[in-house]
Amino acid sequence: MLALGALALLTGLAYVGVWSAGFVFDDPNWIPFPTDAWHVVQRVPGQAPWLLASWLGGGLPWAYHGFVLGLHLVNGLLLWSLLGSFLTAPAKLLTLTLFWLHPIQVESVAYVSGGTEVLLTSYVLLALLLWSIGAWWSLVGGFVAFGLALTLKLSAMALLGLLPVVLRLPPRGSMRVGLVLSFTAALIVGVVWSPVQLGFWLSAHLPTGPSVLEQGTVLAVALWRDLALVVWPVRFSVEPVTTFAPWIGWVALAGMVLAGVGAWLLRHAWPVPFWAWAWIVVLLLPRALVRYQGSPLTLAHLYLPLLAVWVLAGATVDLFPRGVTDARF
Amino acid sequence: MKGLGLLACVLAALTFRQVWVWQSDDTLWWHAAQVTPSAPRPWVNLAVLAIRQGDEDGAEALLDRATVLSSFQGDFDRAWTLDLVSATRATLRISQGRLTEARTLLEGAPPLSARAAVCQRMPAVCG
Repeated sequence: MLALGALALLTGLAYVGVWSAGFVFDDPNWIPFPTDAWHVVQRVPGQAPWLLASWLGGGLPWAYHGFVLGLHLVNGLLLWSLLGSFLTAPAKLLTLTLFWLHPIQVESVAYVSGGTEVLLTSYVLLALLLWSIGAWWSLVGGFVAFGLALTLKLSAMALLGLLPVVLRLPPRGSMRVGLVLSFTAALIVGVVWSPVQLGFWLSAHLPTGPSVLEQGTVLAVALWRDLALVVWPVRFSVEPVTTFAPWIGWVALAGMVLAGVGAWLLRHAWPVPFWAWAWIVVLLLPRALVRYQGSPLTLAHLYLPLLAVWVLAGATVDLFPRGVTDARF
Repeated sequence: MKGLGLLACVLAALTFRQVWVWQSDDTLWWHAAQVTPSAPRPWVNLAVLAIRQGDEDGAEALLDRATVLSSFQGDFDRAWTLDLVSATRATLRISQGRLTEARTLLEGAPPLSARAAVCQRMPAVCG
């Protein structure tokens, strides 16, 4: 608990700069301001928590920044609870350290528009946590949280791919039926809520964009670049370079497939890498269908997919015999 | 525990530094231009800031730079960058009172383009 508190405090200190930051880039286009907040929430119920920031700060940046930072801290605690007995305490601490403090998260936390990804992650973690409890009230709560996530943004439809994860959650017997019903009902809400956006998205983007394969290779390059930033966390840019020779895209795509095959072969000995690979691919592949503008995969979009990387890194600690981990931590 | 503490401190320091990049448009786009100088969009956004600050010559130079860099992009990205450059240049022309030139730059703007957005904001210019 002491280590958890110290980590939270350190995270607050690392992000102290957000309190004096203004709105940047396209923030004014996306943020619900006090004047239009109710209108935004009527269209997108998942945006409702922004009302709190809007009401607290009267439209000033500090409240939105503080709100996103608060969500980031809450997400860490949700992740900690969700990992529960799956990982040992040192493994969970490493996961949380990376999740709270890795600089690749800054674009999601310090950029108010990127905060939508933080909010999306809050809903997903809350839904998974509630579903894992396995009581009727928690299944309903999971439905509400997941439904709100699906209304939040169109790309949240990728959360469809989380079904295998949901099916691995503890509830058994009738509760399991309830869990699947809750998940399906939330999906239906999301689909019903999104057709207008979906129609707009298809008519505006698909016919004139690059091919799916071309976009897929660009996405693969972007993903490898961003994973490299996880390992070597310097020189982040809001504008990653998108010019590269086509063969690099093919190599990147082949690399993603090979990584998946390797993780699949390893799954009986150690299932975590395959789950991590599937989590990332499932959450990002639909973006290959979206015509990008300027950047195929911004760092802000990685907040939810990268959860798998932090958990994978933490889980490696548990590969070592207890004596070794005790010595290291 | 010491190893984890050290890792946390290093990551916190890197995060602390990166948070200051997101203080304002100025810090964000200058940083992006330094780290990824071959990407055109930071230069276009710096031109927008220069226009706001009344530095018209500076804005022209930044837009020229973005135009040159767009030639290294693929067809799709290049079209997107050039649309953004034209929209920004049209905004500059409007602020200079050179409406005919602005109108020429905005002619034939496809829906959902940056130029169409300028026309939406200032319909009188596009006619």
